[in-house]
Amino acid sequence: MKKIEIIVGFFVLIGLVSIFYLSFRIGKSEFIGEKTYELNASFSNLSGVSANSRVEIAGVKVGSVKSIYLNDDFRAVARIEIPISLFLDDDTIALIKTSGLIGDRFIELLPGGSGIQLEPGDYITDTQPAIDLESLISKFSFGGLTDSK
Amino acid sequence: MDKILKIITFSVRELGEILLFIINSIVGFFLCQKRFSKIIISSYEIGFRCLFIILVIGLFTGMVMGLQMYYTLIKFGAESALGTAISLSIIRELGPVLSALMIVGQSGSAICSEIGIQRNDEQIDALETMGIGSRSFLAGPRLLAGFICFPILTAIFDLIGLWGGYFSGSILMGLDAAIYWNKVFSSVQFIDVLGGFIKSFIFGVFTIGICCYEGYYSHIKSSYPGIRGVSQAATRAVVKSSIFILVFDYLITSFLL
Amino acid sequence: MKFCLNIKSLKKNFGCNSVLSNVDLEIQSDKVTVIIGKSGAGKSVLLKLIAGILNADGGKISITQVSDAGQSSEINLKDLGFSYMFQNNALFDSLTAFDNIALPLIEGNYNFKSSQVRLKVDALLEQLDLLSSKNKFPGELSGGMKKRVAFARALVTEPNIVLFDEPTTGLDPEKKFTVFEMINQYKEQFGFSALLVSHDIPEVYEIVDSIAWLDEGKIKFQGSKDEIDRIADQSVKNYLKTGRFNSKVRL
Repeated sequence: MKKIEIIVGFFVLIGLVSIFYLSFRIGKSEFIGEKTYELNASFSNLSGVSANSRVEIAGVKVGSVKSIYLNDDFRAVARIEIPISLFLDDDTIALIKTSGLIGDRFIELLPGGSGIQLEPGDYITDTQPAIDLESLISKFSFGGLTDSK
Repeated sequence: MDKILKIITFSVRELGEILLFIINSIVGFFLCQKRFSKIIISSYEIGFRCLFIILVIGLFTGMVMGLQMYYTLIKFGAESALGTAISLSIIRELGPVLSALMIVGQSGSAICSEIGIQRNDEQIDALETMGIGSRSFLAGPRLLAGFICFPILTAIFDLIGLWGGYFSGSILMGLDAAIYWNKVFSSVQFIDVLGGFIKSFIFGVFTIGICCYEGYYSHIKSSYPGIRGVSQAATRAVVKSSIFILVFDYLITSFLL
Repeated sequence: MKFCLNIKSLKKNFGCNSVLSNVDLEIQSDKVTVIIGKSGAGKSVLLKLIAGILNADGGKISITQVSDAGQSSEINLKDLGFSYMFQNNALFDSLTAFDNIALPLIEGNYNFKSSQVRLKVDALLEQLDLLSSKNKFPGELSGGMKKRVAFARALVTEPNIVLFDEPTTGLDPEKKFTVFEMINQYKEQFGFSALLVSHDIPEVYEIVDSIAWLDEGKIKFQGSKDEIDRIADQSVKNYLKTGRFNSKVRL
């Protein structure tokens, strides 16, 4: 009887370690995460970015996209979550990037230096949509590049 | 058409009966004596005895997925997505489903036939004449142990499966280990892990419930009462549990996504 | 405690097969009553109906308890305190003899402390001469030993009535006598009433006070063993006596 208790105790211990490792390391649960604040960034095109997409600064993941909606001017607005310890100035640039040629899209932030801090809920005004690969290729192949000049 | 309707009404009624059986057993169990040591013994039965098979199945599932996905992905030059593909499919789907199927095969059938034989040997009647609630005495601790052990075994399956994918994809096929683990860590969200655990909680209670129920009523549900009835009950318990697992896996997934 | 168990026009069907059509029976306290009858006459079914393991399709089972002051009240079997000894003992294979006997005390709603339970079970083990097999599992015990363990389990809750479902099946004639003697002896010692189902005519007559013959779903005869001799009906007499010849042939 005593032996069974030790074995089961050991088993449950291994199980709990596995569950916590899965939830908090691999799953990155935010129960114990840092507090965050939200910023908005409006783009002319957000195709390929979705909720939970990464937000990076200089290639380091700093936050994620919380939700995406269309505003009254038919511009796509991404609500992004950023840790409270990270201060961004109001001339920060947000651009859509693609990891690899066909990889998933994420938002890259280029911090500015204006000295005026963005408050929670503020808009990042300076944005740049994703490079539309298809139109780029069509421009190349039909000579559209020279036309646009 | 009539036949299909009949099957549907039959399954819904059966499901309701099983649910009532589970609720009765668990509620009654809290009035039982020595609850803790009973749960320990049942956890040994359901949890620890399945550990070995979960480790083996988890490892080889991960390994074969590593191979298959690698050969598929390399055609598109996207072998870097191996970690994403393996981790998401194991944590969301294969972990809960395969470990539940394995536990049913290993422990569920054993539980069903044990209770069935106890029914056959009049031990269940004996419990009732002693004033002991037979459902809560036999099924109660096993249901709670299923509730505890299924998520634990699923978590172990998930982790060992990820290592299996690493072994075949990275060590054998030569994908960079950093890329594999980086993709695993970056693509899995807490919601994926939680979804897997929700599934395994539901599978745990219901499949063990089905197995206990089939064993408990082996004398009236089978065409021949007796030993033959017990073997029929064990077969039915495994079949019904497997159907339950796959159908409800689909339903839960469609709600979670 | 004085009580009287009354069965009135009890019916039980399995599907469209009527097993008990109209059973009337009276069981008095402090007596040993035996139900005899052919195989398949429904003796075990009747016992299970009394114990509440099966539900009757009609009729009534009532127990009238007479207190020392002479007041009578109706109670159910659980309140009276009963045990049931199954044909094949129904011991739990995964529990030792000790745990099997202690099971009704621990799991039933008696609220005994574990030291009290140990004391009670040990006393019973000693009385039934089972101390040597205290920590053995049922699989390691002989048939007679298992019977005694089952007997101990039935007695540990100090019941007022014990129902025995063919307590002698699968035992040799010598052991049969031992079991009957055991019932007789412990009946005096523990003070319970007994209701037996048995095939063993006439051995069982030695210990019983009242005999009930179940045939074709009815109790066709109930009375003491002296009354059998005085029965006029030859067919009944033949049946109730045949066992005597059979057992002589067998011996």
